[in-house]
Amino acid sequence: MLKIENLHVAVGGKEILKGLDLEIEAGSVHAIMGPNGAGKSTLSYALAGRDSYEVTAGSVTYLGKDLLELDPHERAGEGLFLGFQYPVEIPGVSTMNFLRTSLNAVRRYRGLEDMDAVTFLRLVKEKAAALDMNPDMLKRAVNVGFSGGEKKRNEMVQMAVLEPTLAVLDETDSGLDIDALKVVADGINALRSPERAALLITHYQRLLDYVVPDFVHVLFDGKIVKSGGKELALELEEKGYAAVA
Amino acid sequence: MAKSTDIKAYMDAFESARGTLPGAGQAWAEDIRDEAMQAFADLGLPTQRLEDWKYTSPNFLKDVDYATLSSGADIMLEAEKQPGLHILSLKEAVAHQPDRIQTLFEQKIEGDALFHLNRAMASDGLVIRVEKGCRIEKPVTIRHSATGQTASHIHHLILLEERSALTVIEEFTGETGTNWTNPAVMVEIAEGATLQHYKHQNAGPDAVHTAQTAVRIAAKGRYDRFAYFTGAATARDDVRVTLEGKDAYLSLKGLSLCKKGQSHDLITCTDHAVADTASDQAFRGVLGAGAKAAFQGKVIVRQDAQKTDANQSFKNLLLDRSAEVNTKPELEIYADDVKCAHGATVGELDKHALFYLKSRGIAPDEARALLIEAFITDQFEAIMNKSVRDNFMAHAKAWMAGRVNL
Amino acid sequence: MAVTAEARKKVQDATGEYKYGFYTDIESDFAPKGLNEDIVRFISAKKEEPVWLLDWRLKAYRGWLKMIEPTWAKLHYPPIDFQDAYYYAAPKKKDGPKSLDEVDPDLLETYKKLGIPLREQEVLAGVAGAPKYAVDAVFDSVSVATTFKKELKKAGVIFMAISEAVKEHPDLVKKYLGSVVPMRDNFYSALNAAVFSDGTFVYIPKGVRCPMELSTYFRINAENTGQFERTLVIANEGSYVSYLEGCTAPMRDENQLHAAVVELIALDDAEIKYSTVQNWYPGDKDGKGGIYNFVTKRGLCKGRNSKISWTQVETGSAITWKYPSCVLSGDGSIGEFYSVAITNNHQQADTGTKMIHIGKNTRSTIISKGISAGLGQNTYRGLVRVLAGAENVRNYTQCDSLLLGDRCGAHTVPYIEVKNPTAQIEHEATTSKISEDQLFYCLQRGLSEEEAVALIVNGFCKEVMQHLPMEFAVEAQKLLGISLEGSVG
Repeated sequence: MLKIENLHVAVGGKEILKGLDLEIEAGSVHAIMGPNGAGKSTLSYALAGRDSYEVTAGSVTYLGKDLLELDPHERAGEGLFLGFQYPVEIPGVSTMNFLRTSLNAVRRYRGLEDMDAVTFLRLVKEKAAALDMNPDMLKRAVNVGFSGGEKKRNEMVQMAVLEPTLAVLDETDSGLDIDALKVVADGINALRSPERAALLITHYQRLLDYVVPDFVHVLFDGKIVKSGGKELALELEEKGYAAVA
Repeated sequence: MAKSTDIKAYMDAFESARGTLPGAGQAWAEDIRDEAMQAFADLGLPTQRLEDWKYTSPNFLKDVDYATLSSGADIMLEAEKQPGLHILSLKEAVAHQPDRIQTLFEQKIEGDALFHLNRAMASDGLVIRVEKGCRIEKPVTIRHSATGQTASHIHHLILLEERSALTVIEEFTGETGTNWTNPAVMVEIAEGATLQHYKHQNAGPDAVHTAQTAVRIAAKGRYDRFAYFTGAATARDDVRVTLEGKDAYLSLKGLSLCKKGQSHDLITCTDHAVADTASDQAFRGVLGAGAKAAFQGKVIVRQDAQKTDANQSFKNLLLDRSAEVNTKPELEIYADDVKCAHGATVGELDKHALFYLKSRGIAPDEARALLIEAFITDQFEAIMNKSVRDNFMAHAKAWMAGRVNL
Repeated sequence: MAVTAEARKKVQDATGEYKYGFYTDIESDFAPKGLNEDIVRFISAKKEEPVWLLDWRLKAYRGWLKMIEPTWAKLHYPPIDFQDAYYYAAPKKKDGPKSLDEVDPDLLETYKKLGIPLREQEVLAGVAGAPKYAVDAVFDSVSVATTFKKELKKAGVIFMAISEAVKEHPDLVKKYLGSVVPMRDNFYSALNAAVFSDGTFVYIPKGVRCPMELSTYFRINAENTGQFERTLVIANEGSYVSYLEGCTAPMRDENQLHAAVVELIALDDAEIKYSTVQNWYPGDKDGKGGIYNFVTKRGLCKGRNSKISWTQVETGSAITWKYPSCVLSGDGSIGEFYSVAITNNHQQADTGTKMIHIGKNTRSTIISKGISAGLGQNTYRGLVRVLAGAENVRNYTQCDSLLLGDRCGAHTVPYIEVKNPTAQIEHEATTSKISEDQLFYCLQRGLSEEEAVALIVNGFCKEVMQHLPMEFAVEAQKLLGISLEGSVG
């Protein structure tokens, strides 16, 4: 589904990713772990197409297409979802309105009709309930005044509504208490299916207790230095990145 | 005694005084004075129709024949000899170091008639220069006192060379008498230099004080100013600062304690000319019965001045129903990547706080005094020099004690 | 962030450029070009006005001659030649329509294209339960149709062209005309008083809640013609009315002048809600053409506990000079001003409000959202004045500016003048741009850049938009998107 080859990414002229290779098959869950500054967030932003993240070499193929050729919203239209480490506040725009606008934008990209209001409302309520989100939150402006946990939960509701093919979750687990962590994990697990895949970017292995990955990779200084099964996460936790890398 | 005066009287006064003014006989200085007088004549005396004079009636200029008054202001300098610090009188500097001060003396504040008058008539002043890299520890204090019916046009020039530092304290005091002080201070802060500038305007009860200050700050330079206004019948403080280099920083703070018969007008114009500069402004006013104060602050962010960070805050406390306060915090922004905010509040003492204090057994007058003191103390926090802060605070406490109707 | 041409095209198709730029070819009566006493008399005669009104106009005209154009606003435009315009243009009528059925079909078609329902049956045939709107349609210098007059009459509401009201309710007009905005209040109000040709008159009797939204739709059609309408709304004790106005004009290369005066009077316990969506032709992207909009709007909260609320969405005009104000003279009265002003391309707006607190316990709220894009210059200019006798005044002002692009400007000029210590005045202002974080977040959720900007801008304006009547709000939201066309990328 996703094939990253020799990816080099620079931010502000400074090279952060220095030849990263990664392949993700449909139906699988991959975890990328690594210390601060290894390039984890850079990878997620580069995949989503953020402006200031300049791809200087390498290629990314997604569902047979050159991902790097697409604009950010087109990547979203193709089913790529980025769960933000720090979800952004948008004052004055209700979460509900934001969700509807983005769902319909993605549907239109795929040549589908806009979803009618009634169906949409039912869908969102159902997804919010499944993720234990208070429906009143949906009336509030996007992420404005949300706690850290509420913001992450909101990311999961959006993911559930948009049903992405590939979810890239950037430190979705950071700053969460155990209850919120379980909710996030449920959200990810609910989307697991043979047609979909997920890339979890995380600092700690505790999320991996709840979302068991098929593969674990260690990102160190802009490259994947080691790959393995879920046991690699435990090893990392125990020995530290330096020893493993 | 009230006699209307006109531009002609000022020009005549200028002609008869010019032979005695610093720089007399030196062509370049005479040229500057001529040009300044012409600019004054072209602009004419200010009127209330001018936006900058909206809240101060310039009629005082017509009530007393200031043009013909002799200069009666004394300047007293208090400064210790310190390496790298050079202080000359305007007369000495013009005579002996023309090359050093010519450019500073040439600087003008466009459109400001009283500044041009000052420059034409400048009879005295100090030229303070700090050498490159010298950080002067002991403050330089300039005391101005005016007596009787006099008019004075003092012109100070302050030049801080690269990475130097200085603290200047300006003080204005005076006895009764309708004296007019019309001082100008021109400041140039070179790269990495820092100037702390404190001013206490405590002129006599009938005095008129109209001050102009123009400041240029180069890259990494810093200017901290605090204007404490308590004196004069009519006082204006007009400060214009241009941030001309990256990472230049400006702090403009002030407090007016204004009582019956007084009018204080504090005006600032901050010009962010280049990218990556910051300014922070905060002014407060405490107004007693019959007092009138105005705070007008303008912040300009030029098109190239991206990443500007500018804050403005004006807070006013009205202690009596006959007080009047006017506030105008103005933003003029031509760059998009900026953080600019301003806030202004006007009101009386917080009723909830008053009630809270009273409920703890504090007498109403005492409670009011406590809250006013808190409002003032909070503002003085901006003063970095401790002895200045203590002096101002002691003065403010005396001011409060002297007010019956707080 | 680069936006593909295709995406841009899609948005363009979805939103369209200035939609109302067409011209209706209709035979019109013109007064001779230029302005002098004869023109004033001509207009008055055309309107078959009583002598007192002609005298009033002439007095205004003579006053105007001595006045000079205000130059204090942050607006730059070439001098206006007041002699180079027509001050009166009216569609030729045969005998004057007796009923809506007799209105010139070309006019009906024009309003249909503008989306304005002039046929009551069409309105009635609409969705069941949808709110009804009564419309007064002003075409160039005259009112061409007023709907639902009968139904309103039943409720005692007077809703008609002001020229008609002069004839049918002379006492009311005489009593209130110029009572809030004196004829010589300013240069443009004096000009308007001299040459105003039509406008809307509304009177809501004691205790009546107006049964439907009232609206006036202003259309400039004729070339080289100024529009000078005058609106007068009087809400008697305990009454309520919500009034809307919309404005459009054809696309033309030359600038056209619009100088309106609106006066509102609210007596004891009355409430007037006045909403405007101003979409005059803004000129093209190079700044050619567009309407010069110089408007004086003022409401007098004359009675105790009365309330006047202005809501405006200003997206059109090349030049906007407009300060809808409230004179809060009745004790306990309330003034509100909610404003969204957009300037794109070469547009300039200098707009804001004045809240004059005279009565005790008066309150005012000002929320202003300015959006600048392209080379647009946007100024909020406001005054909050508390007079000495006004006890316990409260004012809250919030001015937020959003800059889209690095060649536009956003300016804030608030005056706060307080002469009473019991006043509590708060003013806050911020200036910001759409953060790259916000934009990217939206793009990542599948929104195109235009959609993302429109969404964020609508969020920025929400506090104002929610004060618009529902139908207007939807229209205004779309308009925001259209107005910002081409401002990103």
